[in-house]
Amino acid sequence: MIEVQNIEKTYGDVYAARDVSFSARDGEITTLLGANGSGKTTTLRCIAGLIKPTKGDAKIDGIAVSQDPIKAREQLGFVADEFGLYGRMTAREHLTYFAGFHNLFGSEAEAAAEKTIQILHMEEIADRRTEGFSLGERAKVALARALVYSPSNIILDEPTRGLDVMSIRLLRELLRELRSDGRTILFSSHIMAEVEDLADRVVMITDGCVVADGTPDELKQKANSHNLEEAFVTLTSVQGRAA
Amino acid sequence: MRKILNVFKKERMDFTRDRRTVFSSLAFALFGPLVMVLALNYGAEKAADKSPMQLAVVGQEYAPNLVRYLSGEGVLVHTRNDEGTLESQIGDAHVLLVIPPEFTEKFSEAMPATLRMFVDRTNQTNSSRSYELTELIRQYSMQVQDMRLLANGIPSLLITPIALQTGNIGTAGGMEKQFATMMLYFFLFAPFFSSLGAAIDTTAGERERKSLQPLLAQPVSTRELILGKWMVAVLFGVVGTTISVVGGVYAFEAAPLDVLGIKLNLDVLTMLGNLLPYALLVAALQVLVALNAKSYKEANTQLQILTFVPAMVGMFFMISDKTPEGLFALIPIVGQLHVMQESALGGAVSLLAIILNGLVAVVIAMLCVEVAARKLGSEQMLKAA
Repeated sequence: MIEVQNIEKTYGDVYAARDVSFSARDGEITTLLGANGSGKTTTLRCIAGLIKPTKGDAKIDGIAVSQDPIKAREQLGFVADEFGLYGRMTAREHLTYFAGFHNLFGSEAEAAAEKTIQILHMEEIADRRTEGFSLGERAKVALARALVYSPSNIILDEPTRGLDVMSIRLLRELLRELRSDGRTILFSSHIMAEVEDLADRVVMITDGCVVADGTPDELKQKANSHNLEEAFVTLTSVQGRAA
Repeated sequence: MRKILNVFKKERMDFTRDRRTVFSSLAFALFGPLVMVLALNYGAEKAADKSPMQLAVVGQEYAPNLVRYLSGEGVLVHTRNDEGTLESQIGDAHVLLVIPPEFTEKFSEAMPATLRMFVDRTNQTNSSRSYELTELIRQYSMQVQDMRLLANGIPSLLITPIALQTGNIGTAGGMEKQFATMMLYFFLFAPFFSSLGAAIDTTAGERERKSLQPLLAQPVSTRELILGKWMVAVLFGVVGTTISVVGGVYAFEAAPLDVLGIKLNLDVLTMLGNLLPYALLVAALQVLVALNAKSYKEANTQLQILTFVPAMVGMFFMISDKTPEGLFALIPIVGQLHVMQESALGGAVSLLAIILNGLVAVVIAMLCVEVAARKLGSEQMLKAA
């Protein structure tokens, strides 16, 4: 469970986020939907404790990130917008390294890595150095790295960016599996089709503010439109006019 | 602690797989002593070189007495004719002496008779040989002058009002000190070169690979991360410094120092006791500086500038005769160099000085680690990551 309460983040006079509040519940896929520069990455980074909000706070499984960021991160898997792999290390070594931050060492780390490799069907690439991996393979490693310690909450920042159709399908299936496991999944995106297909709950964000929050059907109803894209345009422009 | 070890093990494995950087990190430590042995042997060979001077002479027939005198002094004279360029005339000889045809006439008329000497000053051997020739010709000229004065009834003593005798009392010790500073200087560089690669790879490298975000989202403090990274830099710094010192001391022992008139007292344990805490400090400084760089290249440039610090301190002590005292002697690098100098020149080694220097180095290293940890936790880090 991830709760975001009135997050505001400024850099000088510039607002990266003005007022972001929402909850991502267990066993649901929640999407942060917004245009580029709307404050999605800032919000996700605040939840992960990578940046400190100017106002407001986030809670992960009830633990306030501002109070105890290390404890809060124990139940968080974070897939950043850049995959950032270590080219000289194998995929498996990435997993055991990250397992180590969750007190899984030696055979325990090996077992966790092996299990994750099987879940993500990455046996073929597991013992190869990640240098020269395709984008899809890199995405898999980045995801596996966030899952190896079985966190109950998973955040993904635009995870499908640059992936091919097959990789996106795989990722979708995996997110659904994780959802059925009862985990909290929060991902950001600006691709309507993807959001409509996957999300149980959509949080629309524009100009650093949450403008709508609900199931895709609720949002369509609210905007009186047939598809999410139109609903997004209607709802975000209402906010734009109000501002 | 296990999280620190986790970072240490990963960084060590990751870095050592980059064979080229590992090799270049340790190249200074490995090849330094070798270069030192070669340089010392070359120096000794030069010093021991007592072979006769090879002198090419054009116009030998115009000054047969002078040439006979020179031969008598052990100079090997090679007759050349007045053809070709100066280079071809000098040939394999050290120096070329050209005696013009008018020499005979001027000499017999007791007028100043001109001789021309040609030498390649860029060649050190030839250059020093030319000074020997100048001295020999000056002595010959003095002999002729004495005879001419006597022939005119004037005792040569009359035109020598003062006879100055000089003796060199300081050279041997001073030269040893300079030589020692130069060589010990090399030891001071060792940690800089040895831990540089690891310090960059674990910090700026992480930023360049954009792997910092997922890493910082882990339940681990930035202090634990920095400590793990610093320990890898320390490992390479310590290994490199140890190889340098052991290799360097062996090089000193193997080199024919007696020929050069240099006596240095080098003790591996004193050197290492003095240098290893300093290696911790160097690694911490490098980690801190490299953390500010967004790319490997940028960090490399910054750390190379940092490497000039011991160079400048070393230069200062080589040029000045200042002996560091009191608190000044506790400044890192100054203190280390001073202790090593004292030890190498046979002076008493103060264990207290080594311990104090070590403490200062470790305390500053810890401060650097703490500042680096805070820096890593700052939002600035994610800007390019």
